[in-house]
Amino acid sequence: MSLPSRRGGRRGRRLSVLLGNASDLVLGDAFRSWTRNLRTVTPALGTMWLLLVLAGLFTLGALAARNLVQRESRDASVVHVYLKDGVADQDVATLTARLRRDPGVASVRSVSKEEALRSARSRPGLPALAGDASTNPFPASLEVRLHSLADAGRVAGTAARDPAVDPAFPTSYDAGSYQRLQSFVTSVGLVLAGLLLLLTLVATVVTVNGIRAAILGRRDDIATMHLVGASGWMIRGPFVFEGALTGSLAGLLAAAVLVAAFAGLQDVSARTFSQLLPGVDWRAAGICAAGVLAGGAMLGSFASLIGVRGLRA
Amino acid sequence: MVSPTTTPDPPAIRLDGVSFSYGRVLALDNVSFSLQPGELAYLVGPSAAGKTTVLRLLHGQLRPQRGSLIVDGQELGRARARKLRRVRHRVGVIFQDYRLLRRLTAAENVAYTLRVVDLWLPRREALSRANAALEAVGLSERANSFPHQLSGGQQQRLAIARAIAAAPTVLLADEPTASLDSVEARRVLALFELAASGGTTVLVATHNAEEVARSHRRVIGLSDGRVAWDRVLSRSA
Repeated sequence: MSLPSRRGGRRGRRLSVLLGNASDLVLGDAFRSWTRNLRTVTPALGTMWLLLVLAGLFTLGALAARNLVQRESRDASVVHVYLKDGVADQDVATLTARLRRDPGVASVRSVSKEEALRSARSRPGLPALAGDASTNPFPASLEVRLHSLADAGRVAGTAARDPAVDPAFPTSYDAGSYQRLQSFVTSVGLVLAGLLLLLTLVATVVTVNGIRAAILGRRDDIATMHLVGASGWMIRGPFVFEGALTGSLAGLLAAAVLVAAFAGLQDVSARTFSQLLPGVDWRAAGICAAGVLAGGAMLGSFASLIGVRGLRA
Repeated sequence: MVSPTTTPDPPAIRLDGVSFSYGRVLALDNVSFSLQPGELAYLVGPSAAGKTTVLRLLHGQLRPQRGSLIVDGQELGRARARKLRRVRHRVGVIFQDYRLLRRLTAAENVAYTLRVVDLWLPRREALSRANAALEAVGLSERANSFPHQLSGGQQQRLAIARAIAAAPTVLLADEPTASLDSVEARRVLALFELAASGGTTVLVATHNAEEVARSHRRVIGLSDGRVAWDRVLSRSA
C-alpha cells in the first residue's frame, strides 16, 4: 500500500498544459456534464426552442410587414405638381431643374395633358368623365418621386410657389393623408419593435428561470466545487458554456423549423400565386435562421451567467 | 499530552481560544489545541460535542466568532476568499457526507480536485495520480463508475482517495470509517498512519472507540464544545 507522493521533482511549467487544463476544466467539463445531464436541461431547452421559433417566425412576419409598409410608403412618396395651362416650356424646364437639385427628390418626370387623360381612362370611375368631356380637363404635371415620405410637404410647398404651377390646384399633396400615412408607418415600426423587445424580454426571463432551475438542481456540486478550492471561473465557466450549448442546440432546432416553415410558405405562395411574405427571400430567411442560432447561443450563455451569479455553497 | 512547545517547528494546526455558536446554540467554547506537522490525532466525543464544527472551522467553511485559528501557517479567522482557496488546496478533507461530484466518474472526481489544486498538472498525470489514489483505497476497479453507482462504503473510500491524492499538508477526516466494515476501516486508518509518516498532519473526528483505542495516538476529547481531555493513548491502555 502506498500514497501519492508530493510533487515528484521539478516539472516543466508549460503554458500549453495550463491552457489545456483551464479549457478542459471549463469546456471539457461543461461538455461532459451537458451530455450526461441532458435530461435536466430538457425543460430549458424546450422553452428556448419554442421562444426562438416564435421569435424567428415573428421576425419573418415583421420583415414582410416592413417590406409591405415600405412599398406603400414608396408609392405614396410621389407628388404631382400641376402646371398652369399654357405655361412656357422654359418655365417648366426651370421648375424641373430646381426640383431635381432638391436633395429630397429622387426623380422628376414630365406628364403631358394627353398622358394624364390616358391614365385617367384606366382608373375606375374616371373613363366616363374623361369620355364625356369635350375638352381634356386633366392638367399637365411633373411627377416628383421623393426619397422619403417625410419630404413631401416641404417639396410640395416649394413647388406650389413657382409661377409655372397652377395656383388654384398646385399639387396632389394632401397634408392630412400624408401625415396619417406617416404616423401609420411610425406606429407600425414602434409596435413591431416593442413586440420584438417584449418577446426578447420574455424569452430571457423564461430561459433564465429554466436554466437557473437546472443549476439549482446541481447546487450540491457547486458547493463541493467551492469546498475543494475551485475558483469562481472554474465553477461559473462550465455552467455558462453549458448554457451556450443548450442555447445553440435550441437555436439549431429552431432554425431548422424556421427554414422548413419558410419553405412551406414559399410552396403555398407559388401554388396560389400570392405573396404570403412579401419581399422576404431565401437570403433573408437564411439570415433570420442564422440570427436565431446565434441568438440561442447568446441567450443560453447570458441566462446561465445570470443564473449562476450569486450561487454559493 | 503533547505540548506545542516541545518542537521548534510551528504547529500545522493551532486553535487558540476558539468559540463558535450556531445562533444561540454554543457549539465550541474557548477551544485550544495544536498539532505539529506529521502528527496524527483523533477528535472524539459524543454527538453534538463540536467535532464537525472544529473540522469545518479548520477548512474555512465557518469563521470563529472568537479566538484565532491557524492552518498550515495561515490565519483563517479573517482570511479572504482567495487566501482561503489557497489554504484549501493544501488541506485534504473527507466530508461526512462524502461530497462527491455526481456528474463525474470516480477517477474524474479525484483528477478534478488534483487539477483544481495544480493547474499546471497535465491531464494524463492527474488521471494517473487519481488511479494511484483509487488503488490505495482499493477502488481501482470502480474508477469509471459514477458516485451513484457506488455503495456507501465505496463512496467513502472515493472521498478518502480524493482527499489524499494531492498529498495535502493537512488532512481532515470527519467520521471517515462510518460506512466501512472493520477490514476497510483498518485499511483506511493505515493510510492515515502512512500519510502522517510522510509529514501530513492528520486530524480524524470519530466516535469509533475501538479504532481510537487501537491507535496509540493522541486523542482530543470534546464535550459540550470544550476540550475535556487531550492525551496520547499508551500501548498498555
